Amino acid sequence: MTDVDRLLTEDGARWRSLQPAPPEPDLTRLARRHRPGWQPLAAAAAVSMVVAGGVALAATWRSPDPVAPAGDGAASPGDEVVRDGDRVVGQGFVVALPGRPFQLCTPSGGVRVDVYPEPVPEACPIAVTVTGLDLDRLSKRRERDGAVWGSARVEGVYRAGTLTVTRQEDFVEPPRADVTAPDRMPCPEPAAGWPRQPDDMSAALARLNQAVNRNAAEYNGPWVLYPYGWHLQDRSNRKGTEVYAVGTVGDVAAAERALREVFPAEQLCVTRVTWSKAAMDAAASRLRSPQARRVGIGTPFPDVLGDRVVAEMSVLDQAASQFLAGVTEGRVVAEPVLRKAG
Amino acid sequence: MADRHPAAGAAAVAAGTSAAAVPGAAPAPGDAAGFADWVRPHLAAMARLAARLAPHADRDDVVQEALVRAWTKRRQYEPGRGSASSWLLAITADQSRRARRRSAASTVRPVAEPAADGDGGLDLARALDRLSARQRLAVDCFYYAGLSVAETAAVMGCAEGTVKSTLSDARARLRPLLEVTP
Repeated sequence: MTDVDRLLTEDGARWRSLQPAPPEPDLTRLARRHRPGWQPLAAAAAVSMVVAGGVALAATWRSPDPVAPAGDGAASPGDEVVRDGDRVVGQGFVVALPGRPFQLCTPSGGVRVDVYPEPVPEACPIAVTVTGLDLDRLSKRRERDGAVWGSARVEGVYRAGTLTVTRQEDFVEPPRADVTAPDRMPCPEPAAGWPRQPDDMSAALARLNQAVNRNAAEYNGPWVLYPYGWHLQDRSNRKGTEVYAVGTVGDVAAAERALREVFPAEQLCVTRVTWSKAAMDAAASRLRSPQARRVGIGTPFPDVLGDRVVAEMSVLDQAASQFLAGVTEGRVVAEPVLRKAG
Repeated sequence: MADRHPAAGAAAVAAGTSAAAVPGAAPAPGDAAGFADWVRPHLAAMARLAARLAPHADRDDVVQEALVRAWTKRRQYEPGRGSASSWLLAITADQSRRARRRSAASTVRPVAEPAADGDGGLDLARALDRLSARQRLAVDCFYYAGLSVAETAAVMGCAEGTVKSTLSDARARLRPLLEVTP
């Protein structure tokens, strides 16, 4: 360490020691933008399979093409329900804690966990117990304090909540979305293009949120779209321009007229959706219920502009399938970690 | 019988680990509280970075705005492109720049005087003001905010090697200003 290095290191440590504690996340601010960003519909459509009369089954990063069911809409609900003795495939996060069974976890919150940073994970609340797994072969394996975790792609036999692994491979990285790419816009671009938003939209957005919440049975949103893409540093070519979208289950023109009274900004985009905020919240609430947990359903994801509600789970077995069929007439999309093999 | 960890019966996993790091443990994705749990381990670094990059702005406000930004973009978080901390810190850096621009009009930062200390060298704070913007950013991130090289690279939008060379250049620039020997 050079003297300059030492000086900087010591001064940095001294400065850090004087810093006050960080703030707690302000949930009221987050609630102002309570909905997630745009999910490319084309990509969703490419990997989703709607099962007539039953639950829809979506392929996700946890089940990239080689292990996702090769569905093109021809399958029946029974085809996708996993029963004891069925062969299943999937991939995901594995955690092995001292004295505990190995777990193949159901992800949390739509957050990908094929790479997981420190600290040591705890046991997953929604998971499949796994036997026959070689921890030394985990992808991106981590080990600390006696715990081992990483990712794996597995195939085996499912029975009563336990997967007996017969084949283990490296985790397959799914295609990466370009997070800086322009969002696909549900509204036409104005002739002069979307104008950049003012620095402070908070008051207008608060009014827009209030309008949506007052009419939650009709509206959904708002959420933010980036018609020209988004980049942390680069503001060229209109990057970072925001458009605020609201969905309606009713008449789009009427909704737009009503919403422009409270949100006159040019950055408003009103589009047709099938899920209202109230319906989406009700479905998500059912999916967070103790009954849902008992059948192994994890975190629901209300995907507003994907216009769907997704339920994450370890495996779509009969109990989970029956539960989902009773939620909003089977419109919930299942995202199981494990699916029936070929 | 399920497989058991080879260290079965050993001491339990260290207490105090964050539930935020537990896949499946966080609340629902639509639930802001779950997101709060997920970001909580990174808040201290975010706050330090905001304090360094936007010293005249309200540090906590910058952090909260960064969290809102992260919240709206959370489905686009891709661990394969970097860790959660790098992603959050890059967003914090962006918000800090916005805040700095906003505060620039109302806050005049004193220009570093060329006057020397008694022994002929500048004090460290003044010497830091002589660095280029990129060098200062690297030093602020790495030495003061306490970020790793990878996190600093995410904030600066460059490769890790570039961070290292920038830090090296910064040290070389500081050395004569501080009159320290290599």
